[in-house]
Amino acid sequence: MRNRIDLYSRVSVAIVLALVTSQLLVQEVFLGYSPRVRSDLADRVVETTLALVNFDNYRNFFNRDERIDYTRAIANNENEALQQLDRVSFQPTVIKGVYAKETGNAYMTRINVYEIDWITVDYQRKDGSIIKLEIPRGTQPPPSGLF
Amino acid sequence: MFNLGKFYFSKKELFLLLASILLFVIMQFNFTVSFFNPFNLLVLTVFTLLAKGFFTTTNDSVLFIIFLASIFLTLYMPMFQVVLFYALSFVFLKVFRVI
Repeated sequence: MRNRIDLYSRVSVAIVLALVTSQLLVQEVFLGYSPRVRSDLADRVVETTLALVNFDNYRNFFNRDERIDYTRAIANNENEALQQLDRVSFQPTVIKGVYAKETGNAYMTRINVYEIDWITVDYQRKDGSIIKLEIPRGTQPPPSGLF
Repeated sequence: MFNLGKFYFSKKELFLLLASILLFVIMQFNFTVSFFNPFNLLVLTVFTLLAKGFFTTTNDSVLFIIFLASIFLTLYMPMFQVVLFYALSFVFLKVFRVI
């Protein structure tokens, strides 16, 4: 009886661990529930590892007051920057239909999609097939084979 | 127990073979199984048949628990994740010395 409980406990733990690991692999290592491995896997692993070993992250998590002050300071800065941006008007850019304005520490872009002069270009995908892409006139298409 | 030449089959293996044939027929005639995809079930059944060839008969009840858990998970997860779960289950069962 005791052996049986021991056996099924180990089986349950193995099933739960397999479930958790498969979920982790699908989210962090593979792309779109397919066997394709993420191209930025090494970067993600380094980022996650650095975040895990950074002691400040844990200190900020437990130090609630500091975290609230930090959030409030960000919100105040953002409001101040938005107020300053409101006093400046949008200027046209080199791309037709795209406008921008900036102050000392902030900038804002407005894209009027219907004003943009779209041109159709041929684009070679990673699998070698050619598709039609619409890009704004005056801009460069993405490098071929990227998608 | 029955045998096909040199190969001996237990009752569980016989039922797995029957299930595989049944699922193949279901797929060929485009019948539907409520909530389940017959192709996913066939893949898991074939995996279990193959796995049974590698493990001793004394440990096969654990194999069927994993098989049933995988079938249940096909209701909620994509097939790729279920196959990952299936493979990882054997790794962890081996680590915990169950099989």
